Amino acid sequence: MEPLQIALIVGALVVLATLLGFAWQNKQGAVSRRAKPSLPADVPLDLVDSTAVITLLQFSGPFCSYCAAMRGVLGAAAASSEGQVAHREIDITDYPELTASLKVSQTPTTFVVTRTGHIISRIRGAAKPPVVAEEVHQALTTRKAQSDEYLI
Amino acid sequence: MSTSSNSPAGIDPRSPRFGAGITAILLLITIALGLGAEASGGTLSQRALEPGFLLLAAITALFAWGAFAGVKRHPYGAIYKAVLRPRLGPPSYLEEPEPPTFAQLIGFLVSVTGVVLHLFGVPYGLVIAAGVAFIAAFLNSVFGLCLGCEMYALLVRARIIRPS
Repeated sequence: MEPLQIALIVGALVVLATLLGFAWQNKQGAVSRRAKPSLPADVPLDLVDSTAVITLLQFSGPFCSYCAAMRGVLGAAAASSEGQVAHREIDITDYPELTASLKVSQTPTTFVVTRTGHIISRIRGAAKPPVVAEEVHQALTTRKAQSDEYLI
Repeated sequence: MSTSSNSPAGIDPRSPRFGAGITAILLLITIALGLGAEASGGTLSQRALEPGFLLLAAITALFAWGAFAGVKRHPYGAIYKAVLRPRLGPPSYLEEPEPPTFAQLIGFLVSVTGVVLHLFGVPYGLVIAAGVAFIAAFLNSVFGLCLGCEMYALLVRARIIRPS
């Protein structure tokens, strides 16, 4: 084979691998928000911190290296708005039924949950700190608006 | 809670990524050499002496080292520890050694397939196996996506393999 052909094939392989990598990276930290809270609660109340406004409930799995990274990100988010935000981590193997009912298909998966056990949003995979901060901010302002409405 | 990611036996997650980077570069050279050689021609001994084949055989041996001795004893890990680790800060989290060790086993199986196919004179067997291994090594080193580790976690969750 000619050197030019070899260079083209090798180059194409690097481009292909890079595109695959970006496709995977774009899916990490994808957020979906729930339009309306459902009844009954999505999450058992013993998994929610009743003293905080919202709980970041992290589903981790055995041998999941990004779960450890996500633990740091969520822990920092909880520490920066103490009293309002809590972080809880559970293992999917300890909660197989909840994992199935919430359709958790990858670890880590994080839910932003209200004090009443309702899911506000879902973060798939390991997310960067700004993504988590935005979800926390969004959740807290929504909760604030709802409680104001209730007072009126 | 049985998540044991904080176990004291954890490894610096940047170490396997560094190793995967070296592997990716070597595999790319293997592919170029394999494409440059006459497509699986010649006798068995001629094929066994092609530089691309020799390089893939060496990569296969290194995968075997990581898979059977464990990723903690891999020579690339020793290079990382001696040269890079002192220049970097401490890792923000640790990783369990089992998934990357399993990933080394998958790398070994893929590359040994290329070695065998080439010895049997299968056209492009060496290049295709090296290409598959390259994509996995590249994703691991550049993006931190370790396909073998994901497979390991899935197999443990499906209870197909038991963590030792």
